[in-house]
Formats: sequence, C-alpha cells, structure tokens
Amino acid sequence: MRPISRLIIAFVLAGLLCQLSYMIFIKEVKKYQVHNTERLTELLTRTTDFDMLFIGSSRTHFSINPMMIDSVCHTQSYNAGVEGGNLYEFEMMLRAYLENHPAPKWLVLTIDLHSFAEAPKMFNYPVYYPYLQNKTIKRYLEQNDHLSFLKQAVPFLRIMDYDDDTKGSFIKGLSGKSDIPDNDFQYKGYLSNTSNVIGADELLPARSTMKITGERKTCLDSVVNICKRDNIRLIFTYAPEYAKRYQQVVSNAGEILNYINDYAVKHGIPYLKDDGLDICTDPSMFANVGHLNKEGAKRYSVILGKELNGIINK
Amino acid sequence: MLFNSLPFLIFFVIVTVLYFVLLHKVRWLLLLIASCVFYMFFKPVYILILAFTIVVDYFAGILLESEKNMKRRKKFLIMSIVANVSILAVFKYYNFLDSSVTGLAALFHWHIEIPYLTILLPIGLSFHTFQAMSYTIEVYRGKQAAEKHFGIYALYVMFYPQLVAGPIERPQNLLHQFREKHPFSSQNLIDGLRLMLWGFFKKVVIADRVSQYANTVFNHPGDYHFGNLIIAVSCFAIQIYADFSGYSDIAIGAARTMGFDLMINFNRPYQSKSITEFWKRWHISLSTWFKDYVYIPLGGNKVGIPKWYFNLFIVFLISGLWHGANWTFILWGALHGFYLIFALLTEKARNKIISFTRIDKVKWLYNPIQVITTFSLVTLAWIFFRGNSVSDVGLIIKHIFTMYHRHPFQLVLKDPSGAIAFTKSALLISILMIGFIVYMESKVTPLLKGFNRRPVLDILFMTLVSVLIILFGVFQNSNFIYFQF
Repeated sequence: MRPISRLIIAFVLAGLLCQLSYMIFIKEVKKYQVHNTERLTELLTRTTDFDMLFIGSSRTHFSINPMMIDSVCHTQSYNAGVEGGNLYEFEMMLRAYLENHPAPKWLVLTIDLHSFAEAPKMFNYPVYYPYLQNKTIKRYLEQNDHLSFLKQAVPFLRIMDYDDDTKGSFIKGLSGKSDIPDNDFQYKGYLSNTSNVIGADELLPARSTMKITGERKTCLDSVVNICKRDNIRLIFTYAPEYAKRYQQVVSNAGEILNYINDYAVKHGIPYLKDDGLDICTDPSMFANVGHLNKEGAKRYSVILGKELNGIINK
Repeated sequence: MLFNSLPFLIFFVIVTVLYFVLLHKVRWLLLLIASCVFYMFFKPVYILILAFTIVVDYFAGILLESEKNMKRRKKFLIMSIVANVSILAVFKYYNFLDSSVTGLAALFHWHIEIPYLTILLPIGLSFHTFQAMSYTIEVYRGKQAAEKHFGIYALYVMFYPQLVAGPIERPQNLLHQFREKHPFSSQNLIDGLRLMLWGFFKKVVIADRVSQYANTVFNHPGDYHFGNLIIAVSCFAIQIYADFSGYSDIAIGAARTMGFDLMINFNRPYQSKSITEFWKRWHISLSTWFKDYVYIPLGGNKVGIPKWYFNLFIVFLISGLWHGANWTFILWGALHGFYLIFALLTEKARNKIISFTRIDKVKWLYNPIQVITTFSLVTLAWIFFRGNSVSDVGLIIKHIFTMYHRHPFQLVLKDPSGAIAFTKSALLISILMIGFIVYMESKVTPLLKGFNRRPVLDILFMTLVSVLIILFGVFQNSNFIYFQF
C-alpha cells in the first residue's frame, strides 16, 4: 500500500472514530450529568412560562430552592444559577433564557463579590456545547473564541475542551450513575448541596481582589436595560456566606459592596443583603464557607421567600 | 511559536507545501524566512542576538579556513567562542552570578550592590549557541569546510524545527543537506508525520497531564504526604521525558517531511541498565557535544585515574550549568557526575558480588533490577532539576526518606487552597497512557520506521494515536520544558 494511501486511511478513520466517540461521549456525559442536562435543556431550549427567575453563581444554584419560594410567594420560579458565573455569564444566561421563554415578571439576581471576577468570562463553557441551537449561547461562545469555525465544521474537536473530570463522567454515565448524590435531590434548577457541615479544618478561600471593570459595569447595565425593556422587575440579593468569610479575603470587598448598594439605590432596585442572617453564623447550615448545605438552603429559601413576598406584594 | 499550537500547524503546512512548490535554488530562502518568522513569534527583538551569533561565527569560519598560521587560527577560534559564551554569560548567567556574589558577600556582612538585569532569557539560547560553536570548532579542526553562503550558514543555525530545543546538530550532518535537492517523497512525508504524531501524543497526552500533578506538589512540597511527593517526582520523570523527547520527535519529523535527516536525540533512556548507558540514550545530541568538545579535549579517559574522574565530574557540572543558571541545576549535574565516578570506583566490588551470587545468569530478575535502580537514581536527580530552590530540594528529599506523613495522603490531589488539581480520572488516564507509551517504546524503533514494513499496523498506529491525542490531549498551549534553556 502506498504511504500516502496509508496516511489518508489513517486520518479518515481517526476522524470517523473521533466523531463517533464524541457523540457517545456527549450522550453519556449528559446521562451522568442529569441535573445539568435537565436545567440547561429547560433554560436554553424549552418555552415554559416562569414568573420568577433566579440568576447568580453556584451560591444561587445551591442556596435557593424554588419549592420554598413558590409555596411562600405563590409563584412559578426557576433557579438558573450558573456554576462559577460572574456578571458576564449572568447577562448571557438572561439573554439565552429570553430567547425562547416569555419574560418572567421577576428577576432575582444574586450579585456578590465574585460577580465581578474578570476571568474566566465563561467558567465552564464546554457545558454549553450541546445547546448550540440557542443562538445567544452560540454567539457568546463564538465571541469568546470557544467555538471557532473549525470546531463548528469538525464537531469532535470540541472534546478537546473538556477536562479530565468530565471525561471521567463519561465512564460513570456508561455505568448508569448520576451526578445527584444518593441523599440529594433537584427541583426546578436547584440542587441540594449535601448534608455536610463546616469542620474545624475548613480552609479559607484564597485571597483575591475583584476589580469593578468597565466591562462588568456594562454587563450589569445590560441586565438592567433588558429588564426595563421586557418589563421585568429586578431584585438584587446577596446569598448567605459563613461569618462573612468571603468578605474577609477579598481585599476590596467594601468598595464592591458599596458599589452594589449605590447602584441598587440609584436604579431603585430592591437589595436583599442576606449576609447578616442568624443562619450565617451557624456552621451546621453550610457545606463550606460560600455555600449553604441542604438544611441551610431550606431555611434560607423560606427567609428569602418571605422577603420577596414583601416586595412583590407591595 | 509553540509546536503544540494551531498557528504552528498552519505554519508547518504552509512551509512544507511551499518548500516543494518552490525551485530548489530558492528553498533555502524560504526556510530562512520561515525560521525567522518562527523565532520572532516568541519575542521579535531577540532575533538580533541570533543575528549577532550568526555574523560572528560566519566570519570566524571563513577566517579559520583561510588562515594557515596555527596560533592565529586558535586566536580566531577563541574569539568566536568568547563571543558566543559572552552572550550566554550576559543573558543567561549574569543575574545568577550577581545573586551568588551578593549572597556570598552577605555571608561576610559585606553589602555589595550589583545592578540586576531585567531581561527575558532568549528562547533556546543555549541550543543555537552550542550549534554555532560546534561549527567553528569543526572548521578549526579541519573536519568541516567553511560555509561561504551566508544564507545557508544562517539557516544552519536557525533551521526552524530544531532552532529552540535541538537536536543540537553538527555541521557535517546538517549543512550539506541544505544544498541537496529533496524531491517530494510520500515515504518521507509519512515517516515525518508519523513521528510528529507520536511527539504530539507524548507532549499533550502524557507530559501536559502529569505536569499538573508535578507542578502542584513541587510548588508547595511541604504540604504533602511523602507518598504524594514520590508520585510527583515520578510524574516529573515521565513529564520531562515525554515533553523533551516529544519535542525532538516533532522536530525530527517536521524536518523529515521535507527530506532532512536530523540526529536522533532519545533512545528509550528509561530502559537503561546503568547511568553510563542512560547518558548514551538521553539528550544524545547534547551528551555527544560535551563528549566531543569538552570531555575529549580535556583528555577523556586517556589520562590518570584522578584526572579522568575530574574530567567526568567537570563535564557534568558544566552540563548542569548549561541547563540553567541556578544551583539546583549545578547540583543535578554534580550528582550525575558523582553517580558515574561512584560506579567506576565500585565496579570491581560489584562484579565480585555478581560473580559470587551469579545473579546475572537470572536475566528475568537481574535486568529489571538494573533498570529500576537506574531509573530510581535518575529520578532522584530529577528532584534537583525540578525543585524550585535548593531548600525545596532538601525538604523533598528529607520528607521522602523520613516518610513524612503529617499531611494525609491524597488520592485526589488538591492544591493548598483546596482546589482540585488532579482527579481520579486524570490518574486513570495517565496510568493507561503511560502504559501505552511504555509498551510502544519497547516494541518500536526510536524513529518508528519499522512500521513501513507493516502497513496495516501502521494505519492502526496512526489512527489510534490521532484519536488518543484528540480524546485525551490537554490543550493548554503549555511551553516545552527545554525552551527555557
């Protein structure tokens, strides 16, 4: 066989095998990541009419249980918290959601110190690859060089962006496991965050500085403008953190909190700053310093529901 | 331009296609321009340093050839070597000397202030400087005619596949190839691409994955259980081999596609049964450079035993210094020198033990013992090479040998802030891929040409390696370790 034929056969075979592997990989990963798949499918492809939407980072995702909110506020709410998200990704999620859903009456935006994080703009962008039918998602991926022409033409190249942990979840998917731990549950975008509690050896988050950049200000302005355009009432929240530990390690926490406060006042946005609640000093309510556990989320969701009820029924 | 990047793949395709499209008489110009572009991708201004070396050595070569007076010839050679070494001294060793002198002075409570140079080390400086020096030395020795064509000589120093991390070529092997016609050959193409694929596999699947483990632990060695330290040190041994031999494979393969033969740089070094054998298989182009231009001129082993040992030791000390301006590298070189001298000193005693126990007759036991012992000694030395400082090296060695376990052993490796740095999946993939590389390298020749006789296996090999690169590659555009030298 001529060398050139061997090369061509090898590369064609490799391409076919990679494409096949990618298709099986995505299928099994989606099967394993049942929670993520369910919520992203809902948010990015379905058309359900929710009247309250929660957007924020994992501190929203693990802290706000729509079951409690709905029972207190008599709403149809959905938790659209984005793991590791910042204002850039919050804006993207809002736009992507509005592409196929009717505008909600209320948008509850959890805005905190890490909402101003600069990098990465999209924390875990490969998670959006199966949802490219959502034009907003596709545009954002393209704008951030995560979806080049090559990756669109040769889909299996997208597998290069997944980390080893996700690659491992492919095997877990094959074995029929799911990413929802045995004693946990999901409900309308919310995932209960174990029954773990903060121990004596709990590490402090790494020290950092979050800049209030023009880009992040623009993202926040865009969220406000979209809400005005679509007649959505915007509410800011600050989810509980254990003993204000995050505020201790972010060097310019005061500056950011003042900025959020001033911004809320200036635009007439209600701001529910819940870092001083009683539960915030109870380590049994937290899985770690930044995230409530299952019990903590239950308590906080009831408190937040009452706070929201006071605002929406005014 | 990094080999493991999209710009390089585009660059490589364009240059290779143009090489065969253009007439032979202008191909040198294409390669020279391409090499300049390749180098200037890193930091454009540093091409001036390269230009200085090229001009100095080009004229030195011509003067050396035309001059018949031995004294004057020697003078020209010394001038050329001084010029080359001066560049290395300024860019690579000045700050090291500065900090060493001020540190030493501080021990005697003398306060000396020497200005610190805030310049980046030009990429691959030690490689192309050594390649340029081998040219003038060979011309001086009369083994190589001086190159009259400035462009061809410049290309000898700058040929892009081996410009930044070798193999460090000799003029006898490379210069004449720029004058030879290389018609397109599909055999060369497949030989080159196959080797490049294998190099990419080693770099992005193995080296860049295990580096995550090694980097996490080596950056905070005091925070880990001795078991994690041992794994990290082993990871670095695998990383440096996969990284550097992967680079060499890509370099040799890229040159091969255009019909150029570069010297082999690695020959399964971790299968060595002794340290002496290891150095015949590891970074061959550098070890033979030191042998030809330092060890033999010093007298090699054709001198008294104390001088022989001294020669060995000094060569490895310089080799350590060549790698980097840091005491850790010097100690790494010194340790290898010590290994070799110790092996020579104990040779008779070891032979007596072997003939008494007859262990050498039990091949299945004796060979693995030799290989494992050599690998362990080499890996121990890698701690010096990778350690961030001499104190870190001391800490790692102390913790390994005292079985330090104040921190728990971590199966899933976390960095000191608690972030996961190496998952179980990464561990599983690493073990499988390392198993694959060990199996393949024990079965195939270093340049993989054996596949030419077995077309079906060849297709399977290239398919499998391509698939593994795509599925399990770590694509972070990370530098090759040896770029820093």
